[in-house]
Amino acid sequence: MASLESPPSPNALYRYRADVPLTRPICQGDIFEVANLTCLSGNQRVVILTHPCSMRQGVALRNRLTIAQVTTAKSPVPLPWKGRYRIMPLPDLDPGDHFWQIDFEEIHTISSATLVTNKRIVCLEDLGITLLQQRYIHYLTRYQVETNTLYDSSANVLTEVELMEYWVESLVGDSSSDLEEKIRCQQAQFDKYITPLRNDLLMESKRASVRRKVYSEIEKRLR
Amino acid sequence: MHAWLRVLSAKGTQSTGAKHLLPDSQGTTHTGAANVTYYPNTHRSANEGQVALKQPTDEAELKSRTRDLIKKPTKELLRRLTVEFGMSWSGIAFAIGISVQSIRKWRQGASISNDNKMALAKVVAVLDILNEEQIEDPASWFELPILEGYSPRHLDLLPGKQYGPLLELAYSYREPQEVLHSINPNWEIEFRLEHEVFIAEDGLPAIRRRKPRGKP
Repeated sequence: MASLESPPSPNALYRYRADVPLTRPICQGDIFEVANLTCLSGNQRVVILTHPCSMRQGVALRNRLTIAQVTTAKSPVPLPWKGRYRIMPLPDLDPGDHFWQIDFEEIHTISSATLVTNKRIVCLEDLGITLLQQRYIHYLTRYQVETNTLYDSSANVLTEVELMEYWVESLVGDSSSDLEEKIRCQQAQFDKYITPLRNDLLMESKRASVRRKVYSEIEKRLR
Repeated sequence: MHAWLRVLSAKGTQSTGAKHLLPDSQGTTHTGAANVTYYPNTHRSANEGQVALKQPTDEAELKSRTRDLIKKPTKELLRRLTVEFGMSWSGIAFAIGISVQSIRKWRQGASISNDNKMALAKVVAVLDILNEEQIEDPASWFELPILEGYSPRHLDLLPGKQYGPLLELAYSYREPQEVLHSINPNWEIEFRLEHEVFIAEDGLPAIRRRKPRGKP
């Protein structure tokens, strides 16, 4: 591999931009607006770097998470990306005039309580997450791993995150009262249901089967 | 030879290692920075001349099934792809060439364009055909690599509407190497994965360098 990879288009990087559903579990690549983080100078935007496999204890986030600051650049980075190994460009992150980027020279460990779901402005798509992993690994070690392999090594937990989001979205109902509590309750229910199936999620040949079971269980619980 | 059989050719692809075949928001498929062009297939099948056990489903049947399915409500098509087949929301979005955010809106009752409804119906039709004829768990098969050790998966053929090669792989009408060659003649270098995933001592996936071919 002669160079790090690029997305085919800016849109391919993002799963949600604006209107990020509260039902989406917090994951690597999520970008938050934060307030008064003293370790940051300038913009108070951060992206989670902690790997999705190691960011939780049960359903709850670990107390400390690794983040990088999301900063602005003077000019956009054209596709395909060349060099610029100290950052990951975030083209078309929002409709404003800024050229946003993940700055690997501004990495910090912060309290996970700082990250509030209603201040989450972006979730990266699986491709965006693996591109972030690729550039982060390269920044730390100068070693290149292809995004396909990075996806394979995270697919079990990325599948679980997607299933948890759909479970919670389907079962939490329309009521806006006590929404956060209802989300936590459904996340715990999902965790209980998925625990015996986690080994199957490790095998790509069984992931579709796990998804069918989860989707069917959701329908059963909705009846 | 089926008229609808196409060869996907990546022009100007850089030698930057393994690549996804990815759709952008307009559904155009790219390999990295490459443009993608479709050509009539003139590639001879490795199995040509052999007695076929089963004829690949032709374009007319795929179209006919799609026409029937497009009459179904969007929610029903999404339900078939998920509850019945077990596709991921990301996989559906990838196959159609739209965002997961758009699919979420369809789930909640937002309107869908005719083109997207057609694309959605076609994915269901392909899964039906695979399921009826050859593949027991087609959504799972979609996620498997076309050839072990190389990046493209069966699912990667959908955004470029490579239904012909997809079905021919299912029927074993074409060798995986032949399909990869039709995608990119330089496939052995550009699609080769240099790393592999294994289960580490803590029971979770980890990455290591793949052994060179031919070495134990």
